[in-house]
Amino acid sequence: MNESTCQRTRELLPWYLNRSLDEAERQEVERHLEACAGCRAELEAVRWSYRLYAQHLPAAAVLAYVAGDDPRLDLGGGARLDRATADEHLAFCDPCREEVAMARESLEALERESAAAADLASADRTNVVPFAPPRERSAALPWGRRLAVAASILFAVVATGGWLTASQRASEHADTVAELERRLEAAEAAARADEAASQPGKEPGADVAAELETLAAELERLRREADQGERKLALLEQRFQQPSVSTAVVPPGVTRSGDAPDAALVVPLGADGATVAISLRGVTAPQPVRLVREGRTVHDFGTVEVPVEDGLPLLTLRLPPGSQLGHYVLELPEADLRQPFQLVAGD
Amino acid sequence: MRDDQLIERYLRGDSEAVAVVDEWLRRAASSYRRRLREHWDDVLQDVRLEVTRLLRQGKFRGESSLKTYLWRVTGHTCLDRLRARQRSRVVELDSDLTEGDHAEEMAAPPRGWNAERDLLLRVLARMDEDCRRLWGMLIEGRSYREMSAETGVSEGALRVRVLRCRKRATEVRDDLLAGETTSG
Repeated sequence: MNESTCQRTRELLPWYLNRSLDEAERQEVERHLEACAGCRAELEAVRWSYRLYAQHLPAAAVLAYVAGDDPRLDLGGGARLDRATADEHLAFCDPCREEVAMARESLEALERESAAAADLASADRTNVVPFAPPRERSAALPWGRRLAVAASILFAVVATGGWLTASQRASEHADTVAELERRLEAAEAAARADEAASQPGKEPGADVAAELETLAAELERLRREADQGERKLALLEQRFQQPSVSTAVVPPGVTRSGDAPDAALVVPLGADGATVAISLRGVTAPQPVRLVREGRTVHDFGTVEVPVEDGLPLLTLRLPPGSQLGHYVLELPEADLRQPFQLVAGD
Repeated sequence: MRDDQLIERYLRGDSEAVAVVDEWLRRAASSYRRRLREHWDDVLQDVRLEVTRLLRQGKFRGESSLKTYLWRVTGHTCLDRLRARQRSRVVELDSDLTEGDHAEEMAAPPRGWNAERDLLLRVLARMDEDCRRLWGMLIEGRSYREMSAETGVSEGALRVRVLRCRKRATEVRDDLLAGETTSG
């Protein structure tokens, strides 16, 4: 057999198998294969190469990889794959990495399900939902995640309730203190009058002195409480003045994915882009605003006015068409604010 | 509600149980929606059918929570759909070239999964990026003329490179097998 014909045939075999040779080349290869055992063996080797380069992680491996940290991924029915082998594959295979990301996102969505259901119930009524405080992304366990959410809700409730309580109590205390001071002055005046009258058989001003003592003790206690309340109020006011995101104002047709701070908004991303509206605290002046994705600024909105609606500064950002779905960080560098959120397609 | 109660009520068609399970399925499937948007209703229907079939057959054995089990079933169904869609874009090769890579069954080893498949993954990880790219183009059904135009490599040089990548893969496989024999 002519060696150069074998060489040419072998070079063409990959394209013979993917059926992209033209008719003349195909017939040339087939004629040669009929006559050459060596090239038929090579054809089998090329088939093996196709299987090799078409390899991806089995779906079961993708799911097992996401579901746990077992060094041997359980593929069911006793089959297993080393996590290290999966890691090697994921290091270069974009489609499999994407599948892992989708499976992970799916698992996280399910873990958030319980908390999100409760959130959505209130979001449906008010269309304004709490916006969790910024937090580093982590692979928290479901309960850890739920605890974090519970903690942020608790903080909001305590902070709001605390502010109201402190404010109300400080006001009540001020009235009480004034009333006690009036009563104290009246008691002192009465004591002086008693002393002046100096009734025989009775120690002068004894009843009034006892009342004075009680009133003075109560006054002192209330003053201490009032001081504590004022300090607490000042602290809360200071905290509220720090720049932060307070709520995500959800436009009609937009749902919210739940509690995770990096998945706070689900926004319909249509052909004409998407709108994200976020309420802020402690931000009133025009702000430089930018969107960052994977550490890179993807949209620089320049300096943006922050109009106040219903008493809250409301930042409305229009993301241009072609914006990609995924994780973003909203940065207001002058306000020292970084808020992660996720842009995903809504219904 | 306990998982077994939920399953029993779901299979009876109890509306509350169906709503709970359906919400879990929707959530578990949501991350695949972007890639399966065109046939989304069909995909969800496939997931529901698969879940109902598996639960009816008693395949859920309580080794994990029902929610986690449904996440796996949903993931399998969606990933299989995704991979089937990708396959349909690839030119129809001889049937045995890529068969067995994708279709997988819950609670059973993936079809075709064996020591050779494990070996293939390890060999592939040791091939260089250029080889993977060239063979990826072959799998997509490109002609050598198209590949030459895309890579800027002459047709002759390209054919030789592809052949070298094939030979290199065989060498890597033989090395790995020899290593296993030595260590074993």
